[in-house]
Amino acid sequence: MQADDNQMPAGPVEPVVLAALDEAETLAARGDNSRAMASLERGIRIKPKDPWLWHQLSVLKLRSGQWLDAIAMAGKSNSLAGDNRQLLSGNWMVIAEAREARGELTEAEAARQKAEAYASNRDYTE
Amino acid sequence: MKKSRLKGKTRQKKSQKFSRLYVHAFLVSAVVFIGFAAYLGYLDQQIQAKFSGTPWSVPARVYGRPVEIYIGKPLASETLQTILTGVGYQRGNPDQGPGHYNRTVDTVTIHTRDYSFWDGHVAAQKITVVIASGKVSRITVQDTGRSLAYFRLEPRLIGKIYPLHNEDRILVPYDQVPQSLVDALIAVEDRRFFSHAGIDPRGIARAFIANFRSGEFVQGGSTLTQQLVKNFFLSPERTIRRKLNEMVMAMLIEIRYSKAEILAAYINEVYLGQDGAKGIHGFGTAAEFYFRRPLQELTTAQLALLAGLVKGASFYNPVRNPQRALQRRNLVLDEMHEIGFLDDRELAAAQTETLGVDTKNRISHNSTGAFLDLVKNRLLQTYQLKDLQNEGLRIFTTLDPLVQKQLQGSVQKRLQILERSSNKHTRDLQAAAIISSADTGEVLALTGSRRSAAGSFNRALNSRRPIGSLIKPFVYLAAISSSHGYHPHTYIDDREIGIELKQGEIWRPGNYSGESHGRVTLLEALARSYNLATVNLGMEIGLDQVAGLLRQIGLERPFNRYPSLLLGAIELTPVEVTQLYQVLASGGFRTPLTVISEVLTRNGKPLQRSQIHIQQVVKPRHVAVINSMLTTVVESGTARALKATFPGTVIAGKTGTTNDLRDSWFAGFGADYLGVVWVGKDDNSATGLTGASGAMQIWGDIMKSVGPGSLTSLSVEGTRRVRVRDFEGNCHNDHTIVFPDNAAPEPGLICE
Repeated sequence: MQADDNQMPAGPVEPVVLAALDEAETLAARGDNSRAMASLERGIRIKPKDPWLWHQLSVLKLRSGQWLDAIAMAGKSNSLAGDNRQLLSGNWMVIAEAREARGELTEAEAARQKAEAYASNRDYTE
Repeated sequence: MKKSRLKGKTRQKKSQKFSRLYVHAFLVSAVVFIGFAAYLGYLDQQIQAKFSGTPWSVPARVYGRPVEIYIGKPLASETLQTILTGVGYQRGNPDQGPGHYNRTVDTVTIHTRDYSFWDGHVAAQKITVVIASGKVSRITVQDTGRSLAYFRLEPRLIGKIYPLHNEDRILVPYDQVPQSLVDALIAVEDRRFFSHAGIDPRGIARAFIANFRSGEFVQGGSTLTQQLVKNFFLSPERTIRRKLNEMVMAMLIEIRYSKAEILAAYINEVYLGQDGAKGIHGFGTAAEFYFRRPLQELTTAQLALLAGLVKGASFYNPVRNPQRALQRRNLVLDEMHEIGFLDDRELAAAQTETLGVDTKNRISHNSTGAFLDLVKNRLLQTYQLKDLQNEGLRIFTTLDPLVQKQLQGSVQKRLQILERSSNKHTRDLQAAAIISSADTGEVLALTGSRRSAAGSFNRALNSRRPIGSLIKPFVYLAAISSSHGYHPHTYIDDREIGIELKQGEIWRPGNYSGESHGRVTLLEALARSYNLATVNLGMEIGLDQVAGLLRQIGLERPFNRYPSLLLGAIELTPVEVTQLYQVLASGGFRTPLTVISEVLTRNGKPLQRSQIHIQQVVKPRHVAVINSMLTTVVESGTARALKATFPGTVIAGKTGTTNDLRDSWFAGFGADYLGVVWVGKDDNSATGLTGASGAMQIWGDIMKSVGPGSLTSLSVEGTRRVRVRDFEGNCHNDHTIVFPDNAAPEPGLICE
């Protein structure tokens, strides 16, 4: 990465990241969550600073009910997302849902508000 | 009448006698028969016990990480060649089959091997990798023209977990045995194998004549079946009884099992050499040992060489006795030609081949021993030792063989250089070092001594030493993450301090230079590793705050909450230090250090996969502040000597030196890798080295070859980046520092 790039591109661009996301999506659609996660992890081993891979992994963790992992991985994605509001919003949404599932309603509400705040500054709707 | 009566009587007597004799004979022969049947039954039982079930114990095989080739990967074609050589690929025409590659200036075409990874089987294919300006620019599957974003090469074997009797074995199923190997064995060991019934009297006679003619021992009289019996069941002494047992068992085996089953057993059983204390059994193992390739990829000449070893693996050892081995190989080829297995042209071609034995690239257990110890430790938490030794489990680890080689090389080379220096203390140095992936916590390389042989004392795991100034970033992190509003420009006193301890003693720490510096910023105090400022800061926020942070980020070992904790009076192993710094390198997430990624059964069934596991233990914005402060350690602090080694790369690091220069530490990371290095002596005497003059040198050597990755300056929620003056007050060497959003940098120290 360049020393001064604060601006994240709007979406993933690197071929290997795109391929890993694709593969995971196909596997998840087939109901094979475990291999879908493995293929995202393979992507993360290659590109550990890529926030989309971490985001997608947090989504799969959420789907499989691994709430704490979902929260941690969405947080990790946030820490790598720079100024990408769409991604930040998506991550806070994952955190909100995982918190809610854990019964942490106050934290869930705070996270939801963050998600909405990030989403509203750009016309982004999930 | 009388006569006849008499005769009749005699006859009667005779017939009585006869019938008794019959009965006796019958009884005796019944006993003999039953005895013989029991004897046969006994032998048969032994045979079945050996053949059915699992006849062989197969050591667990431990692999490194597979190399991923992907578009955009920085890669030189020379490096790719090194990697391919590492997994036993031969340069040549890729059309020759899997395991071959060809290389031009910017293009490498690889015929990959069939391989079962955790997530599925990948078939062999020809893949072309194009490299442009130092990066992979295109990956194409040759047959279909399809382009790929990434693919991986099979991982490199880095070690095995051997059973007690030290046998090594790679099982080869019969349908994967190359025909030329069968041909070679038939030609020199047992020409009538496919027609005899276990023993071959004609073969013995023929062998005798052949040996007599040539004046040396060309052929043996024992059939392959008899040799198998000998290997399987019998002691090596030559007695008539043993020979008899051998012949009977050979015939029984032939009744019970097919020729293919017998040959498969033979091919996997026969002794073919010695690797230190370990016996090399079977042709699969021998192919890997002598050629570092799968049996299926060997040439006819190489197979003939292996077949020739049956006669005497030590006498014909191709490494120690290459000339003798070459003669033996050519003789085997001649015999194959004589039968008609090879035509004239094939014979000539095979006989002109070099031996092709590859011992150079064999991965030495001396370089991966410490890592393997750690792998074994972890495995024993889940598996029984006997399963690891016998079940042929395939263990996939996180080790990067190239980084490991670099690490071990750097440690050895640098310690020699340090010992040659004039300082009289700098002798008998030891070292431990760990390289891990910054975000996933996977251990890429680890060494526990200068020569990292298995079983030697593993300092990375077991040697606890005071960590000195390596503690400081955590004292500052405790301050930044406290609710008191500390930030890099908060001032703190670097002044003499006396702290009363519980016993009434007064503790008076001092700076390394012996001087104090008055009012300094946290930034300068950390970058220049001022002891007094750090103690003052720690006492200001409280020892409990510091201790609490250490617990929170995952330090499990109990420790004393004395004020000297603030200067690193806490003894940790290099692995524990790595675990703490992992939290910084990953931006606030605790990631358990992992060494095992997957475990598969011998047949490729997945048993275990370790998922990436992270847990946020500190707010990423607080870690971002500390990490930016740690980059000034390298830019103009105690590690500034590193700056020239990594021009244009932003890295964070911290030196550590303990009292009387006993321990020399360095912990540092870029975007991709974290490295922790310790240098010291086993008798804990002075080394004459600081963190910067010892451990940091090794760290620099390793990371220079690995490439630590430049830390990004992505904004983190709740922070902003500010250009500030260096410690001389200049702006031409400004530092970019991350501040909490709500903190105000000192106006006089800002560059704008």
